[in-house]
Amino acid sequence: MLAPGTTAPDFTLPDQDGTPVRLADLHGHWVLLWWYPMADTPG
Amino acid sequence: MDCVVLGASFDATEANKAFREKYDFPYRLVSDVDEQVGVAYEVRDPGTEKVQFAKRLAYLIDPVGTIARSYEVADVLGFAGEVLADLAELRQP
Repeated sequence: MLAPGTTAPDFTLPDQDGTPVRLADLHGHWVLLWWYPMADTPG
Repeated sequence: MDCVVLGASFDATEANKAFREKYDFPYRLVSDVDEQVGVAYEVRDPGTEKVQFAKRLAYLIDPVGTIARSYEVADVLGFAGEVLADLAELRQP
């Protein structure tokens, strides 16, 4: 797990519609990046 | 609260689309099928084989791109409350 104070690694990943999401484009906002094991599993 | 929530997993975009529509999630779900962003965020161990399942971790990232809080997510509902409390605390001037 990355420690607080670490620079969040930048990424560009497609969203559910295939639209690219780039972390750097979200600068200026708080971002919660929530990882989950697999779609449609509890949690 | 001005916080962009992004869900991330190793699923294909189609699976995330169906998942999002089924539960009517308001936030975007991003797809890391190569699992390499997952390696960078330590939600999977580096290796040659794909693991398919990301670890249940979450990161609260501040407006300049620094990780402010890291979470091991055990209880999803409790987790949501924890994040909101942290955001309120972190945003105090």
